[in-house]
Amino acid sequence: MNLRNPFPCGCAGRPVHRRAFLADVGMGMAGMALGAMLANEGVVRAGEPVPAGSPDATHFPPRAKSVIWIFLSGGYSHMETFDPKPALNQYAGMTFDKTPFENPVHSPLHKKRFRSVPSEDINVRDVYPTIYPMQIGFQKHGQSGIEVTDWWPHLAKQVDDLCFVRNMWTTDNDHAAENQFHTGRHKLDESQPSIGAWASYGLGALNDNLPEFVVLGGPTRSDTRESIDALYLGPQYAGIPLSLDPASPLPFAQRPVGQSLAQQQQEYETIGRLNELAAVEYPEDQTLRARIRSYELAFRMQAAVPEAIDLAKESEATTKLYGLDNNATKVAGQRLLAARRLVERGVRFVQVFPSPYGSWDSHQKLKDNHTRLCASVDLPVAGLIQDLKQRGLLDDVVVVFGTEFGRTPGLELRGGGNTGRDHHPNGFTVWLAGAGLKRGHVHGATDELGYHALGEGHYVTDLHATVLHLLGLDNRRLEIPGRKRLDIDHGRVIEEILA
Amino acid sequence: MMTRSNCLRERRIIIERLICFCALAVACLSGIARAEEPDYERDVKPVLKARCYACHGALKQAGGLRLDTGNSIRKGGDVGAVVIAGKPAESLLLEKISASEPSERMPPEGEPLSAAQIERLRDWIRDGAKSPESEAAEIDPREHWAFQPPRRPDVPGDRNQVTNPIDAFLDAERTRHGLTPRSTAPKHVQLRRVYLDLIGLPPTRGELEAFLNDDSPDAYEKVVDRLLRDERHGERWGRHWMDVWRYSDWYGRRDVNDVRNSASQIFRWRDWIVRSLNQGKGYDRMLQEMLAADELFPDDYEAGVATGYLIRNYYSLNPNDWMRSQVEHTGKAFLGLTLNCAHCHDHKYDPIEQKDYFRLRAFFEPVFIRQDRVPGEADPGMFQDYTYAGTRGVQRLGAARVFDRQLDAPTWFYTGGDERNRVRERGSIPPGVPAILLPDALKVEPVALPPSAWYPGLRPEIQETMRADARNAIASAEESLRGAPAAELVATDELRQAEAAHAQAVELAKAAGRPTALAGEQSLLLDATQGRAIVQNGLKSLKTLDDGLTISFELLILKDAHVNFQLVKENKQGLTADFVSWEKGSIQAYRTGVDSAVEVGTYNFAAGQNRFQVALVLRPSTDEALLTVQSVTDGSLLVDNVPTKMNSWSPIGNDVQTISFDARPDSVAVIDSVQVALAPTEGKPSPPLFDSSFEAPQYTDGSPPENIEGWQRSTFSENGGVAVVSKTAGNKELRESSERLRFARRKADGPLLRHRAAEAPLTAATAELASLEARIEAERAKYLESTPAEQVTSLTRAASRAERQTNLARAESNLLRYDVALLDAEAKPADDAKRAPEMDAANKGLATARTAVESARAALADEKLAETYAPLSAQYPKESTGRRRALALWITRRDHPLTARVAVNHIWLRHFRSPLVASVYDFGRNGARPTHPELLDWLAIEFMESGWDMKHLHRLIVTSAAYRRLTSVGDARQSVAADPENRLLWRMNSWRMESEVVRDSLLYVAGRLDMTQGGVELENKDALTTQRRTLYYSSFPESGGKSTLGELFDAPDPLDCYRRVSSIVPQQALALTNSDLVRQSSVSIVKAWQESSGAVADASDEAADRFIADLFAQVLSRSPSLEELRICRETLDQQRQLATAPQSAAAVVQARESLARILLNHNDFVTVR
Repeated sequence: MNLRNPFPCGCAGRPVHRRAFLADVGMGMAGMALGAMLANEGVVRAGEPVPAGSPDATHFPPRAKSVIWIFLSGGYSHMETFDPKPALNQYAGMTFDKTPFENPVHSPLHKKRFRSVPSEDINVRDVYPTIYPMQIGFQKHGQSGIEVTDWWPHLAKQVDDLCFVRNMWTTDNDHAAENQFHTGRHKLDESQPSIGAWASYGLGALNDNLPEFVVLGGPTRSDTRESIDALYLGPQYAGIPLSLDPASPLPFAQRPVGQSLAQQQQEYETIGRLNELAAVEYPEDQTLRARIRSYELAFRMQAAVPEAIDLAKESEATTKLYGLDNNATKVAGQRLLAARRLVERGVRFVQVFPSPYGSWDSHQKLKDNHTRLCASVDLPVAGLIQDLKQRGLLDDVVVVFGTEFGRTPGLELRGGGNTGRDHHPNGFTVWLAGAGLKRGHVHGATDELGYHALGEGHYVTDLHATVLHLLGLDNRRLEIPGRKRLDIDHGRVIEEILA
Repeated sequence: MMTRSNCLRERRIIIERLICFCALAVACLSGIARAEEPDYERDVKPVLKARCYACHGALKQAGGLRLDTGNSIRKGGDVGAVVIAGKPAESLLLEKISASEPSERMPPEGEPLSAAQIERLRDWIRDGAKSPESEAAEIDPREHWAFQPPRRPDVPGDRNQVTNPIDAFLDAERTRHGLTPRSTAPKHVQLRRVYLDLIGLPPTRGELEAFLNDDSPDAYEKVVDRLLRDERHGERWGRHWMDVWRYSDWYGRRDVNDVRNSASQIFRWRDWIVRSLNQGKGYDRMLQEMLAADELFPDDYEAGVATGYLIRNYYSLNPNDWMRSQVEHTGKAFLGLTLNCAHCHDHKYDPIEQKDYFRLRAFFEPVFIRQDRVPGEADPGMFQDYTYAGTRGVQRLGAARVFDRQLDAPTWFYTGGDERNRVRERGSIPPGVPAILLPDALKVEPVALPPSAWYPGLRPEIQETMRADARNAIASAEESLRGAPAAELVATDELRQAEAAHAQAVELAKAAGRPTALAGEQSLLLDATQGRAIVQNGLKSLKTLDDGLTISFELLILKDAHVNFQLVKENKQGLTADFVSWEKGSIQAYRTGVDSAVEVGTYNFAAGQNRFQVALVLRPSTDEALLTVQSVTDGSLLVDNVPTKMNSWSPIGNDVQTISFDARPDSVAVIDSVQVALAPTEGKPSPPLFDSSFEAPQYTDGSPPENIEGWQRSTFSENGGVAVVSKTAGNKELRESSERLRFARRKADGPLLRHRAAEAPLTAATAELASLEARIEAERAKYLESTPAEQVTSLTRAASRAERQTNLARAESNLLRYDVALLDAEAKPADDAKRAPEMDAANKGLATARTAVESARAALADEKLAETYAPLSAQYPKESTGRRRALALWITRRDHPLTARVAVNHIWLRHFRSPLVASVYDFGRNGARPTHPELLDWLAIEFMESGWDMKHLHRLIVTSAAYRRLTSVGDARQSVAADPENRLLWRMNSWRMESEVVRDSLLYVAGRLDMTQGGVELENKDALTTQRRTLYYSSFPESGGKSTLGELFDAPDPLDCYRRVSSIVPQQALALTNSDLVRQSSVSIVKAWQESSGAVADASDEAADRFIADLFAQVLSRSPSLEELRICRETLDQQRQLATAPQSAAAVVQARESLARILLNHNDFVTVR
C-alpha cells in the first residue's frame, strides 16, 4: 500500500510508542504510572539494556520480548500428559489406603488446596479413592529423557526445548479455575486483571499498529471473559480477541460499504485538520492530543491487523508444520501460526485457546477425549516450537502451555460413570519454553499417585511472576495506587527454571 | 526433595480469603535512597506509618506500643523499651522486624520489610534514634473529620453580594491561593454543557437558536428548570446512580438462561430509579426504599422493587457471597466506608472492628427474595430457590422484592475471611453499627406487617387481576361453546349393524359352548398384541400381613409369549420382590436361595395346558412365599408349594408396593378371581380380604378396570397394550364384535359427548369466578375486616364448597376432554400410525382424569375439608425483623456524619467531573481529604434541609458561576502553574461523553433516538441496530455484558463503578468512522437537512456554507470558524471529486454524508467543553 500521508499536519511522523491513552485520571490514580510514561514517551524494549533508575525502563533487563500463552480449557489430566505415574497402573483398582503410600486424602494439603464455589452446605465435591490406571503408555524422550505419554508423539520430539513444572496447584475445584489461572484469584474473591493485561500494561507495544494483547480462539463463554480482562487497569490493556478472518479481524475494522480507501483517507485527514484547529484553542488539552493520535493509529491499524493474521502469506512447508493441511489439527494450527506472526510483529502477549471451552474436561471417557484432543494440539504446538526455533524467535519469545487444573488419580464415580477423572486442583503440570528458560528440564513433582504437588508447589501466580520476570518486570512493583494486591497475586518467580 | 535457595522467606499465600485492598496497603517503599544520613522523616516514619501504625498508632496500641512519634517509639510498650538508642543489636524492634521465623516476625501480615528498610532503621537507631521535638502524634481516629456531624459553616464574603454560596466558598479558597478564575463560557458552550449534564443529550438546533436569541437575564436558569423537569433527566442521572449502586441486569450463565446472580425482574429497580428521580423523591427516601421498603413502606408496592438494590447482589450458589456484597457496597455507596476491610481483621485505618463487620452483615441475614404478581400480568409463581442440579430460568413476570424469610437466621462470626472457619462459641452476632457512628441511634424493633404485605393476594388490584382472568376464561369458554355441535344422539346404520352382529356372535358362541369368561360373566383381559399391558393393585383393603395369607387367581393364556405375576417392590422404578412367569412352556419364579428367576415347572401349551389356578401362600416371618400352580385343563399339579422369595414385600401403608399382572408383547392372557384370604382356620376357608371378580355392575364390559377396587394401569404399559374387563375375553370373535359395537356406540354418542365437553369448561369457568369471589370474601373477612367469627366461618365454608365444586367441575371437564380425544383417535383408520399412540395418550389421560373426578367428588363430600380452600396467593412471614428498617433510618439520620456528604460528593463529581473528596467510596482515614471541607459541609446541610432534594442541588450547582466558566486555560499561565490539576476550580473541567451519551447523542443528533422509557432490558448486541436509549440495553459483569460500543467507550463495570474512567483507544476511532450506526446517522442527518432546506443536489458554495453551518449547529452546537468553514468546503469538494460520478447528485449527497461523519468524529462532539 502506498498512501499519501493522511496527516499533513506533521504529527504522524512523530514516534508514538503507545497506542492507548488514558484521558481521564479516572480512579484518581489508575492512569498515573501510564501518564508518566506517556509524558516521557518512553517505551520499554525488551532485550535492550536500560539505564538503571530510568523511569521508563523495565524493572530489570528482560530476557524475553513477548509471550505466547496457550491455554487448554477444561483441565487436562496431568498423569496422562506430562506427569506419567506408573504407580497408578501398579495399584489400579485399589483404594488409596491400600497402597504403601500415605493416603493423600488425609493430607492437610487436600483441604488447603481447594475451595468449592457453592457454599459448604450446598455442595462439596466428592473424593474418589479408587485408583484409575493410566489410560495410555509413556516413554522417555530426547537427550533429557523426559517422560511424556504416547498421546504426544510430535511434541515428545521437542522435549529438549521444553521446561516442565509438575507441581502446580490451584484452589478452585470448578471451572472458574480457568479465570483463576489467568487472574490469580478464586471466583469468590475480588477479580484482578489478567496476566496478559499486566504484561500489556507493564510493557506497552513493540508495534504501534497492532494491539499489545491479542486473544485467539477465545474466550468462548460468557463467564470466562475475566481470563483476558484488564479491569481497573483500563480497557486499553484488555485482550483484544481477533478472528482469523482477514476481512473482519476486529470490530469496526472495515470501511463502510461503498467508501473507497481514498475517500476514507480524506475523511481522516479532515478530522485531523479540524482537531488540530481545536488544539490551538486548547493547547493544554492532553486528551485532545491523544485523540488526534488515536485517529492516526486507527487508520494504520486498519491495514496492519489484517496483514498480521493473513496466513495465506505463509509457505506450504510452514502451514504443513502447523498441520493446516489436516482437519484434525487445522484450527489449533491456524491459531498458533497466527500467534507466531503476531509476536513476530511485536505483539506482546498472545493468548491462544487451541480447543473449545471446557473440551478437556473428561469426567467420563477420558481415553476417547484425550486421544482426540491431544491429536488436535500435539502436531501444531510441536510445529510452533520448531518454527520459533528455526526463526530464532525462541530466544525472544516465551511459550507457556497450561490448563486450569489436573485430574483425580481416582476414578470418578459420579452419575454412575467409570471411565474418567474429576477436577483436581491439588496438582497439575504446565510447561514453558523459550527465552530465558532452561531447556529439557523438569521442575517439581507430584507424589507417587499424582495427587499432591510436592513441597510448597506453585500456585498459579508463580507462573505469572515468572513470565513477567522474563519480560523484565517485577510483579510486586506493578502496582496501581489505591488498588493494592496481596501476596497471593504477586506469586514468586520460579527461579529454578530460569536459564 | 526440592531445595529452595530462599527458604527463609516463607510465603504467606492467603488462599481462600476475601481480600480487601486497604488491608495490606504498602506505601511506596521501593524508593528509599541510599542516603548518607538516616533521616527519621524520610527513612523511618513512612515505613512505620505504612506497616506498623495500624496496630501501633492512634487506632490501636497493641502491646501498649505506639510507633507514631519518635517519643513514643523510645518510650516503648508493655514489655519495656523496644529501641535502645545507639544499640541496634539490643533493640527489640529490630529483632522483631528481622525475625526469620514468620510467627515471630513483625509486621504479621504481608511481605517482610525489605533488607534496605531494615538497614535504614538499624542506622537510625545506631545514630541515636533521633526525631524532631515538635512531632505530633497521630490524631485520635474518632476526631477524623468525616466522623464529625456536618455543621453549616458561614458563607464567606459579603452576605449581600453572595448570589450562589458555592461560588462564595470556591472564590474564598481561590483568592487565598491567588488564582484568577476564567471567564464565563459563551452561551452555546453553556447550553451544550448543561444539556449533556442534565439530560445526557445535546440541544437541538432549534433549542440552541432559541437560547441564543433569548436575551432575558434568566434565560439560562429557565433552561435549567426545564431540563430538570424533563423526563430524560431521570434517565441521565439514573444511569449515574446505577453506577454507584452497581446496577446489573441478571447474570450467571446468560447463554443458557440460567439465572445465578440477581433476578431477571431487576429491570424494575432501574425503572424505579428513573421514576424516583423524575418525581424528585428525596435521596433519604430512596435509600430507605432500597434498603427496607418492605419494612418501612409495606403497603407501597411501587416502592418494593427498590429493594432490587439488595437483590442485585444475590448469588444463588453461595449466600455468603451475597452477604459480603451487601456489606461491602452498602458501606462504600452510602457511607463512604470500606467496611469490607473488616472482613478478615479489625480495620487497619478506621475504628471498625472485625465484629462490626458481622454486625453489619446481620442486618441482611434474614433476607430472601420473593416475586409478587404485578397487576394486569400473569402470576409468576414462587421465586425459584437454588437447587444444585437445576437451572433457574429467566422469569420476567412479577416484581422481585426482598422480605425477611428466616427471622432468626444466625450470623456467624468467622475468621480469615473464610466462612468455613465459624467461631460458633461466639454465638449468633446481633445487628449493630460501629461504635464511632451514632450506635445509640440504632433502634431495631420487629415490624408487624399489614396483611396485604405478607399476603399479596389481599391487594384489591391483584384480586381484580384474578377476576379479570376468571372473566376472560368465561368469555373464551362461551366463545368455544358457540362453535360446538348440537346435543343430539345419532342413531347410525353402523350402530344398528354392530348391534345385530354382536347379538348374533353371542348366540353362536353359546351354541358352540365356547368360553366367554373364566368365572362368572366377566374377566380381565390383558392383550399385549399391540404392546405390553400391565395392571397392578396396591391391596389397600389389607391391614395386616400374616403368615398364611394367600393370594390366588385364575389365569388363562391365549397367546403364549410371556405373562407374569409379581409382588412389586417399587412400582415407580419397577423393582420386583417376587415373581412368577409363564413363558413358552416354562414356569419360572424367584426361588429362595437363587439370585434370579429359575424354572420351577413346565406346561404343555400345545396340549391344552393353558388355564391355571395359582396360589401364593405368604410367610412374612421367613420372608418366603409358597407357590402352587395347577393346570385347570387336566388337573395336574405343575408347581407344588415351591418356596419363593418375598423380599420383605408388604403393600400395607406403602403406596409403591403392589401386586401386578404383566402381559409382555405378543401375549394375550385372561385373569379372574383375584383373591387374598387368610389361611383356612379349622379347615374352613376364611372370607377373602380382597376379592376381585371383575363382574358387573362394578365393572363394565369393554372398559378398563382402572380405579375400581384399586386397580391401576402401570406406567410401564405400552401404547396399544389392552387391559379391559371383558364378557368375551376367552372368545376372539366375540371380543372383536363387542369392540366394534363399542366403537359404534361411541361414535353415535359422539355429538352428545362433544357438546357436553364444550359445555363443561363454561360450567367450570363460571364456577371458578364464583369460587374466586367466595374466597376473596372469606379472606377479606378473615384478614382485613372485623367480621364476627360465625360469619367468617360461614364465609369460609361457602368458599371451600365453591372451590371444591369448581375443582369437580374442572375435573369433569377434563375427563370429557380426554374422552373426546379418545373419540377422535378411535375415529382414525385402524392403519393410521397415530391412532394407537393417541388412543394410548387419551386413555392415560382418562385414567388420571377419572381419579381426579373421584377424588374431587370425595373432597366435596368430606366434612374434614369443609373449611379449607387455596389462598389467594403465596403467604410470607407476618413479621419482619425490622433490622433493615433500623439500618435505613440510621443511615438517613440528619446527624449522620457520612451519608449526605457522600451523596453530595457523588453529585458534585458528576457535574464538575472532579469530586470534592477524591476517594469517593472511602471517607475514612485512608481516604482523601476534601479539597473544600466547608463547602462540602455546607452542601451536605443544604441538601438535607432541602429534604434531600437532588434537583435543588443540581440547580444550585449548575447555576453557579464556577460551573459556567470556560474550560480553556487561555492566558491564565499563572493559574496553570499554581494549580495544574484545577483542584480549586478556577476553570471548568471538560469531559468526554460517557459511553451511553456517545451512543445516545450519535442517534439523537440524527433524529433517530427512540425515547420509549423503561421495561425489560434489551439485548446489548442489538445496541448497534436498534435505537432505544443506552441505559435500557443489558449490562452485566461477564463477557457479552457490554455492547461493543460500550466496551470501547468505557461502559461501567457493574461490579464496581463508583467513578467512571475514560480512555482513548484507536478502536474508538474505528467505531466512529466505520460503524453502521454512525453511517446511518450521517445519512439521516443529510436526508433531514436536504428535506428541510430543499437543497438536494445543489452543489453551490452558498448551499455548502448553509449545510456546514447547520451541521455544526446540529452536531457541535456552535458555528464554524472561518478556517473550519474553509476546510469543510474543501472536504465537500474533495469528497465529491473522489466519488464514482463526481458530477452526479449522488456525489453531492455522499460528500455531505462524509462531512457529517467527520463532525461526528470531531473531538468536540465526544467532548463536553
